[in-house]
Amino acid sequence: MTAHSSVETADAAPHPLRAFWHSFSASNGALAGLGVVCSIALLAVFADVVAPHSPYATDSQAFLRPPFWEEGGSLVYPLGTDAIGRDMLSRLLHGARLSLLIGVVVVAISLAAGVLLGLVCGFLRGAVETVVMRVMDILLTLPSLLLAIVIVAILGPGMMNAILAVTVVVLPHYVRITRAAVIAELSKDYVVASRVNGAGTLRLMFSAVLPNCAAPLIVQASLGISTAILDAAALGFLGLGAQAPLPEWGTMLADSREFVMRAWWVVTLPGLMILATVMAFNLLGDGLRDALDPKLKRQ
Amino acid sequence: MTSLLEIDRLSVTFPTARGGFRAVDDVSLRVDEGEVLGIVGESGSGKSVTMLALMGLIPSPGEVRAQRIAFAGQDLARLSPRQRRRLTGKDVAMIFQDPATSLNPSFTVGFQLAEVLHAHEKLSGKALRHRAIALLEQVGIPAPETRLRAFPHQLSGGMNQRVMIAMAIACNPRLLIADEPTTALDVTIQAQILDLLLTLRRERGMALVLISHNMSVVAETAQRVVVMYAGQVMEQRETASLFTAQQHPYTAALLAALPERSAGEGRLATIPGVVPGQSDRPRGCLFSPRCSHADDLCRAQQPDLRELHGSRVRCHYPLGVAAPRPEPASAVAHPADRAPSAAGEAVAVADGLARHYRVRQGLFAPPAVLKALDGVSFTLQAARTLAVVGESGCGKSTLARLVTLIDKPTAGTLRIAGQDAIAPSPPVRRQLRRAVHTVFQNPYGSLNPRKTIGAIIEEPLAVNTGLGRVQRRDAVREMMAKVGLRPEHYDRYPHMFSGGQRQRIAIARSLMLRPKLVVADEPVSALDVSIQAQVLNLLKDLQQEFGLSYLFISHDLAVVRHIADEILVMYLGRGVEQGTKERIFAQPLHPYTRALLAATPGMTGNGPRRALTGELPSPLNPPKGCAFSTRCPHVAERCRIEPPAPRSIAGRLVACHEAERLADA
Repeated sequence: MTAHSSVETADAAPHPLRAFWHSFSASNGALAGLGVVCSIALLAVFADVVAPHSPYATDSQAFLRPPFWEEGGSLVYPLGTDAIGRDMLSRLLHGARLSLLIGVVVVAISLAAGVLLGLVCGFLRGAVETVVMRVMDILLTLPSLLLAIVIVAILGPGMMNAILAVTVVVLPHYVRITRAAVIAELSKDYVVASRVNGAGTLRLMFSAVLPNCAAPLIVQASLGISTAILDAAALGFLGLGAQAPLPEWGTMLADSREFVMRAWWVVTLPGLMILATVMAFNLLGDGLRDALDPKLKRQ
Repeated sequence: MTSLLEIDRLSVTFPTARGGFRAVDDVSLRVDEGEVLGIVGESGSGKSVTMLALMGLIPSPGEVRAQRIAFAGQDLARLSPRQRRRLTGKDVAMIFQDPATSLNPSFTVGFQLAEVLHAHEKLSGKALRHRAIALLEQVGIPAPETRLRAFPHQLSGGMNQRVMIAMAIACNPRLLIADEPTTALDVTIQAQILDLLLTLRRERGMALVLISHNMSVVAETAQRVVVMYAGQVMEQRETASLFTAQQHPYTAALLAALPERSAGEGRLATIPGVVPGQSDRPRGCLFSPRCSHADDLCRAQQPDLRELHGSRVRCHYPLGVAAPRPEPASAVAHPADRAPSAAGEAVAVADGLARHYRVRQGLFAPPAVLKALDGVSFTLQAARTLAVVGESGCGKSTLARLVTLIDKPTAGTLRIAGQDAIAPSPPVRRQLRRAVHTVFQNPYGSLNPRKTIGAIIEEPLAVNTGLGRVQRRDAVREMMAKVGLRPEHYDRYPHMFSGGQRQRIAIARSLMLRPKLVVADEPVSALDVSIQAQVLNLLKDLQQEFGLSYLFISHDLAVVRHIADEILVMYLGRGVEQGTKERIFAQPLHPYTRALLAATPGMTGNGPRRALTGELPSPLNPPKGCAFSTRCPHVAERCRIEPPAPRSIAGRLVACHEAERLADA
């Protein structure tokens, strides 16, 4: 019957993904960040193939060999060797694997737990919310590294415990962000419409509300990876994270700080890797925020 | 009379990724000293941008071109930005739509007023205070000395708009531009503000430019009207001849789409399609794709704005003086022939419904009781429409929440489709979910932006039925076609649709379970006039096809008169008058109903309006006797002591002590 009463054509607005890419790619920094992150991730995945040596193999003939462009260096060890003759390049590549793994695992666990807690707080309010949020507030009052050190001190040093410690430290951010977004979304009409449809709480949580809270969480997660890498490296440097033979960047730094005057490359190169990775993730996160956050979008 | 403002061939272009977008296209207009000029147009017609260009407020990538913009004989283009600011800042003032956002929430009203007075008149100290108080008095704010210390959030919307007006007239402007000054306000407050603007204009001899989407408001206020469409002036004429001798087909179509112009029966005339966006501007006349008179010339060549019988019109084929109304959109069966099978059965029966909230007022104070709804009763028959009317804060949305089972009443009974809807057993609850659905006011907030419209429309089926994916998809496509959407758009996202289309999506969703009752909470108040007519027609058609009952909540009496069978007028949580539409519109008995009718532009002809004084009392502290006694022009001693019970008088229920006297008068 109303087929004749004006079938309007929809505006030719672009698909959300296209629109997202359009505004994301407008920022050079974000693109550079994405490029660096992608290449480090690729190198990490294919470290076994790319690396010329095993990260653990020692060469008693070549202690503290400099990079190839310095005098005494050779292309056998392109970035030189450390104090017990292990190839720096191979260790750095395998270290990328560890660092990225730490970052991703930390963010995955804290994101999952944080979203769950945030959803529960936002939906239930009342006593549950008060208890959870006050615990989160307490976590936030402690300096993050100090808290991580305390947790590792209780659990004992090691990479898994370092991951757990950093997870607990970053958890409150995800809970707060989720809870705030949930509360804002719950007041909107489409949620009421879902309720009128008879949708249950679980359906409301995961099907209606959560996708609309995704944007700030994605941004926080991408920035969170860099924090996690940095914190894990710091723990490693203090001897509380990944333990000695593992080629974790922070641990490598700590092991070689006595050679800083004699062999700059054993200290500088892991530091540079940390710097580059963290900066790339930060740029990526900033770009995502600009592209996803409607409040910052320029019209 | 000399012209105060002259705009000649003004264009405003915003650069975009796909070339320039002309928000204002070749606009010429003139405002005489002391005149009221109305500018009407749907959203996106460029009416606000025109005035921003005059004030030099177009943001930076925007490019303004004009042959001449002259104010009081001075060409603004030749002035330096500084001189121009001084001239327009002092002699031109502007007030905006939403007073809540145009006042700074962190400062008191007095401080903001003082700032203006200090900047423009170099006043300070006592003189400044006296002047501020005098200004607030002039704009009708009671107890101005105490209001100076109030923050914007402590005042109502109407009061804030009065403060805005006080700030605007503080330096005696010669031209006041009011951009949708009453759109965010209730209808009785709207009448007060319009009266105030006209009074101030008369007293001060200033010119007034009134920008509005509401034809009736402009028609009652302005002397001349400029009709804008897609950035162009389509027609410009004296208001007196607007309703009788419009020459542009767009003006004629807009007027015909107004529900207040329809006799209240049948379908509204609609304008097909939507205002063209930047990507789909037609080459010829901008209105040609939607015009019923357009031919090849219109589609090929843009007409110029030309003089014709003392007015100006931009059309190749202006309508004759005896303009025919555009043909009503096809003769679909008259809505009076309703589905006969469903008649007479009560779909919803409410008795003494009440919803009280306890409000904490402080740590030690006892909680106060806010009576959002305080004893409302009604019976809604199958395939009928009950309209609930009232100003904001009268409890109509609370009523909607109770009927849609989102909220539970604190007292009273509610039966829907013959079953108790207050404490239903789980199986009954599931049945009720299928019997009642809802359409919301804001089509932008009521659709989940992350889901395709197919997923949005099918949600009721997915939750409440065991239908498979393919069956659901077919059902959704069928419903999309019924509400006038293209089934191919199943996989698109809500942001790709215009407001009217989104409202169609919301309507489709509400009908998926074939409910008996649809609660529509202000479903057309966010839409433009031509789109509003399309959606109202759709609602009527669907009512007929499915035998639906509507609980139609609205503040707009013109819309209500068009769509309702019965009317419930609410004031401060209670029903004050209730009966059939014909009776209530023919002879309203309750003084509040009368005031509402009198305040609605276009309902009572062009006679002088009698604006209701005062504002809605706080529901936390309602008046003792009759809730309306504080504003009622017929108030008697008894009204202040004893709340009136609803009584049956002259074929309707009315809660007023003086009803008999008013009925005879």
